[in-house]
Amino acid sequence: MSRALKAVVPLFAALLAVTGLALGALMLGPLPTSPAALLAAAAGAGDSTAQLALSLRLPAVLTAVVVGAGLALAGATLQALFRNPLASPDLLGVSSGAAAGAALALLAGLAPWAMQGAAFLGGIASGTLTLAAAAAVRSGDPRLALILCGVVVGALAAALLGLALLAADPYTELPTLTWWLLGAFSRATLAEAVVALGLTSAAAAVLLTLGARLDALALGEDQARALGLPARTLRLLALATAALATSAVVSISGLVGWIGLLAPHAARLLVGETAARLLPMSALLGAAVALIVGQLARAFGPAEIPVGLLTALVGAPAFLALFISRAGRRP
Amino acid sequence: MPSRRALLATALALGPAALAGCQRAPAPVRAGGVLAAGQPAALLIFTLAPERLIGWPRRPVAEALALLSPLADRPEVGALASGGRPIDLEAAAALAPTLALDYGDVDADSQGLARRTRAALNLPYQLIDGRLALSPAAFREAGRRLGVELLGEARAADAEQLLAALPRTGGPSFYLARSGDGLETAFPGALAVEALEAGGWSNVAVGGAGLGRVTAEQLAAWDPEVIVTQDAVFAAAAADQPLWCRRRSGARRRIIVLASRPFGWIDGPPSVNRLIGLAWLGSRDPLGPPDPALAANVAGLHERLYHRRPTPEEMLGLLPRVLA
Amino acid sequence: MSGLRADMRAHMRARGLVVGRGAFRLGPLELDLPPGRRLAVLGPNGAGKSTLLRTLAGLTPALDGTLSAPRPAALLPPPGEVEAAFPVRHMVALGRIGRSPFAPGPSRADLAAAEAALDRLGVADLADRPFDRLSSGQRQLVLIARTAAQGGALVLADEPTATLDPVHAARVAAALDALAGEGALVVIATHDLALAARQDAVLLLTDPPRTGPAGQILTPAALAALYGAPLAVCPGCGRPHG
Repeated sequence: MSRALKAVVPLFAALLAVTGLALGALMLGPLPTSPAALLAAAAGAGDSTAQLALSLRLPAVLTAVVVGAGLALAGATLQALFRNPLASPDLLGVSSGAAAGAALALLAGLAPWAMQGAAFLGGIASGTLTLAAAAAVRSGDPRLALILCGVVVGALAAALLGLALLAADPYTELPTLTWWLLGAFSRATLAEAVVALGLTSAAAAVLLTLGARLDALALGEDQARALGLPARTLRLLALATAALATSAVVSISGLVGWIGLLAPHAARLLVGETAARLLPMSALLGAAVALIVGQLARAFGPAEIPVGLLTALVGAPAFLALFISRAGRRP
Repeated sequence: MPSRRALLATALALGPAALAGCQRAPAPVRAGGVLAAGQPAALLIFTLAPERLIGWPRRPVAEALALLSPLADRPEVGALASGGRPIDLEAAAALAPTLALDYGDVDADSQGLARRTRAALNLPYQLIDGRLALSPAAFREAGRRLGVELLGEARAADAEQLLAALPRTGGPSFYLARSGDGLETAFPGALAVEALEAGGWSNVAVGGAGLGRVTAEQLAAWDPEVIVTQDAVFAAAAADQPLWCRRRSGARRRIIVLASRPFGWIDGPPSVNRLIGLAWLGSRDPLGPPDPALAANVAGLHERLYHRRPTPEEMLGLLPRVLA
Repeated sequence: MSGLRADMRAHMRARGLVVGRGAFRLGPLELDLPPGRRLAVLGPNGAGKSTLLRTLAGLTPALDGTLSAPRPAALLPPPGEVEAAFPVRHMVALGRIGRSPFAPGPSRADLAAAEAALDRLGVADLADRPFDRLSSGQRQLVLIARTAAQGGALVLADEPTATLDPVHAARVAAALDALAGEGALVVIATHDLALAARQDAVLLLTDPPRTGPAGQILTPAALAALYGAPLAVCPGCGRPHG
């Protein structure tokens, strides 16, 4: 069926692109190696420099892929659930909670892996708080309640973070906290990246199984229920999954914005609106953007440019361009 | 999404509120109280005229206070200059200082702050260059302003002796590891590595300025001979990670863990505390296990800078650990 | 044809049914409708037509009384309320999503049923177009196709011809008739008196509510009592009264 083929071709092309970018990222870096040596190292042989380079580049590449895909999935899901193209993973207050968790762990003098764990817990806690608070609000539009609760919880977390910034030692802790907030793909160890990969994959599996039900939920709760779906439960499941994915990725990379907002929009232009195609395409495009940005971060000298800054610099104008092109196509 | 600017705005907005809430009642105003614009200035004042220090921009933690003389028990008042909890001009005026001192970069920002404070509070404001090589002049200037010229002269002589004893060249290539994962570093010329570079050690981190984050691979590419750190959390983790304790050739790499209490030996803050680091750099074998001569030297400096001689047990904790 | 399962054909029975939201109440209502019956609900704005439809659909709990209604119930909102950008075929196939709890998307059978439904309504050529590029009339027909694909035993249409041009209004009315012909119970809330007159029975949301066959109930006096003012035109043909 040519229609099915039309749907698959862009996805396949995106998969190729992501693979190509990932391989490219594995081959670029300050240690002097050649692609041949790296290939040998991947097979277990090869000289020690190539093996070292591979072992050091792999976590960063994996982190970029997981973070990009995770944020894009969460963003696409929230845009469907809120029926709002401006929705992004930050809406539920998860990112702020993760940042606050990391800050408090830093001030407590915990090891870096504990900071990631505290960030994850902080994100989960604030996401749970938002969902619980919104569920307690019975009347009115549930989307509005959710947005307001997300804003409130996010603001509370930001206030906690602000206190932490004040209390941090300006010569030691404050720079570290600032770097964490601005985002980096090079921070996570392979183990941490693999854990995040597991969590994000689980989230992806849930969301992809929900599939067309997300489309139904996007029509509104009444419509979804009239179509025979347990709309409240499914909505909660989708939101919780999005919060989980966001928390998992923010905890290993810090705050990286714009990918969650941008990737679904670009994906929409390429494969249309149905969740079954939109979610995987968003994830692939998100991973691709993250890989590119990760490389850019290291391209200007040995000092890394925080990826959160780069995504903002690249993302904001790109989003504007997408929006204009999309607006131009519609009557 | 809460942008960085929003976070900073929140932090700055909460500053005075938090200060008002947490500040203890200021100590009775002594004749001639001196306001430190930042932590480096506070240390300078504490060394020369501790009884005149109104308060710390950032109160040292209990662990640090235990190593300082009881004169260090001053309240936290916040900093006029950037870095740390801010204090606004009105709160500063309420502390009734007779002199304000800033010790650090002499640039447009700090000069502007000096002008504004002088004008607003009608307060003598002394800005002293914080470069390590100018420490003797700094002591003399501060001694003059604080009315303790003899003491200032004595400390200046100490500083001159320590600077002269530094080997200008021939030190190892080093990488300064900051933050818990060690991937934050300082590039050549930054305050954090001024002491090490003055001691003739060469910073492998080229191509940047100030503080920055690098990747693990970048560190491996630079392949320094020595890792220096003041971060105990990092040191504990790095001891068994091959990335840190082994060079590319496979040989063992030394990780030198310097004390950060009561104040760091080479940084944290970039002030007179760094003289202790200079004593270490000028010692017979800074890369080797610490020797009694260094211990004696450090104990003496401690007493002269912080007005308290560490006990032998405390000295053991203060001397550098070399993980090799 | 539409997949209406025999076990779902059932009467709708309401005894002493009171619906409402907040302080507002409507009822008590007595209803007894067999499958295939078409009921029009008339009332001024604010009388509670939408609330009644939602309660019959099971989306809002009744305040009092008993209700047994056929399931599944398909809800057709007023034109303009449903916004989506996915293709029409997908929109119609979503009607069958309630059937399989774990399938991520419409199956081949679902898509085929969707196309068949679109074909029956005469809009098969719209199958690949994005839903939000259609006119209001076309969207209503697509949503009715979705209802047909859903195999709904109860169809609740909230002002289905509002704002539609006469051609599409007629096609929508015919489509709803066709659904009833296949055995669904159709309840239409409307201001369109001509549409109401075509249905089998009419429910007037007066106080107390009155039900009866369209020909009997739709008298000028009853309508005047319902809307609070005499009607200047004949309800059947739209000609002004003499």
